[in-house]
Amino acid sequence: MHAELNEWGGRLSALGAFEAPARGWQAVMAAREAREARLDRRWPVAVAAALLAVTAALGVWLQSAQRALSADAGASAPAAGAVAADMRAENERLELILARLPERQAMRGSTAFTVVVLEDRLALLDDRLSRVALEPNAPERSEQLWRERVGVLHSLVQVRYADVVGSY
Amino acid sequence: MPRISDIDLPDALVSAARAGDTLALEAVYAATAGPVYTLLRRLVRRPAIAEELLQETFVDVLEHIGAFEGRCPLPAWIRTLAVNRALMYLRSPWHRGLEWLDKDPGGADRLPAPRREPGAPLDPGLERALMTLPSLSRAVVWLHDVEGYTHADIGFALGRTPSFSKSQLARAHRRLREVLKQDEPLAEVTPCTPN
Repeated sequence: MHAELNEWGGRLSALGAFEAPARGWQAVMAAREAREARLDRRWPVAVAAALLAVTAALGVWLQSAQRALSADAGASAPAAGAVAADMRAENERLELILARLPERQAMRGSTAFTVVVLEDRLALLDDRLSRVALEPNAPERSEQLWRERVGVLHSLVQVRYADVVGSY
Repeated sequence: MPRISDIDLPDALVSAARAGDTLALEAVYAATAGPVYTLLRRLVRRPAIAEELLQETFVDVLEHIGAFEGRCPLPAWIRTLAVNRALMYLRSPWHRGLEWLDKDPGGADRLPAPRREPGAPLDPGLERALMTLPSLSRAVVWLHDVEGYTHADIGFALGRTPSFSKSQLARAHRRLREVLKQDEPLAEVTPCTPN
């Protein structure tokens, strides 16, 4: 076994070497300048994005704090239907944010893969939501699905947002 | 062909490079670019991608040389950056989407021939066989057999287990043997015309 491994190592190591491209160092310096320029352009956008993200997070936090306060103040927990309505409203808000993000003609492969996975998950949840009324525990199940949809949408917004910010 | 980790750089050059001296960094590039490019050409099939990865690797070197602590030789550190860049590319869905283009049966034959060092044996069969392997298998073979990575190192770099690396290597060796066997000339030539 080891002899075989050594044999492969020996044969492969003996294969020819490739010449590095001519003027390679100049190309490296040019690539470095291009990367720095990209980073310089990103700063103002990143600051604006961070401010927007903080504002959005504050909004979400205020909303959830308000909900918690009203839940405490109320004699009983809100009905499942009301929670599902809240979740639907949150879904709409996130969908709106997604719609406002600029469409990218090209994105990093790994980002595209993540977006596809999240969008597939959304499609699956939408399919389940369209059939949830037929299930015996429809209100609870509906609320659970809407909650999950909000979570997936949150992730999608974050990924798309980071991608848009990263492209500047 | 020297392995990248076997390249010996003078201590003074490494110190100057760590201090950010551009001339020293250019000298490090001159000493290591060839073997790093060869490594990248073995890991990724397309010359243009290998060139881009080479540039990105050395931009990483320029940016992070201050973080190099000298716990391993500088060429080995540069190799790690290059391997990370290449594996990041190989794992990307963008690359996986392009891979079908490389399945052209004549593709490997059309690749430009590498420079052969004087005295190095010519082994076009092995070159071709290597190029028939899927990208990740080829990476495992090259990193293990030539660069001396352990299965644990490869598993870590690929975000997989050492067993994944072992099974990939065994399968890749089997595949190489099969392709090389197909290339062997027939021992006896059977006449195709009746006597």
